[in-house]
Amino acid sequence: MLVVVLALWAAFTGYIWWAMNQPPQKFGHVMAGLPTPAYFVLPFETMWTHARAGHLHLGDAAPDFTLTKQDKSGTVELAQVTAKQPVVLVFGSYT
Amino acid sequence: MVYILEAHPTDVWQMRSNLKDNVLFASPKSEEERALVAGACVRKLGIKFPALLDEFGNSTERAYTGWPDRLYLIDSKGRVAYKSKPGPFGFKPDELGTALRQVVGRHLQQMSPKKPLTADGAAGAVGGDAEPRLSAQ
Repeated sequence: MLVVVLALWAAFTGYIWWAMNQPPQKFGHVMAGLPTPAYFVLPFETMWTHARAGHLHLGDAAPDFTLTKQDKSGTVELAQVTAKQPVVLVFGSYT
Repeated sequence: MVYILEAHPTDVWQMRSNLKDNVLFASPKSEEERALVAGACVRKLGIKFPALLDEFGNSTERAYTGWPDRLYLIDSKGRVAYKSKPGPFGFKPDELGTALRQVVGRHLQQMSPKKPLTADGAAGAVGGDAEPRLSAQ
């Protein structure tokens, strides 16, 4: 019995780990299909921290980008701003 | 702020908190829709610092692994000086604040090397006009 429970837990953990490594929308769809208590049986935060560690390390050159301003008043190139001063990047959305 | 793809849109993974706060948006289907939701986000949350839109292919989000939310500090050499762990668990403005004081202090020292900086001086500079501002979003 214990072996069966452990095997199920391992399979579920593997499935969520796989989902965490998919693009955000796919991961969201997987999570939306689970009842909330389901992921309390996992070390969710630890898994998430590893799955979303990313490729950038301290001291790496920040990948440059040119993006439109939300108020449509033009574009901003990161490298042009960092040439003058340090810059904070806050990634996020509304929901 | 770099506005990226929604964390909990109604059509993907809506949370109870979205209902409670009445923050209900479907995933934007185009660049224009994304700009509209980003506009609502900036207005309703009262975000005062510059907001940029990640392009619809999410290239900046992918380069920085920014979803669902994350904080970075880039120094004036264009290098990563602080990178938070992935949100929501890793979104810690206090950690960023500590890194920001150090990096801004160094930056100001490079700009005027003769003037020694106190910790107070460095911290006080953060609120200055040309400096990056911090928000507990």
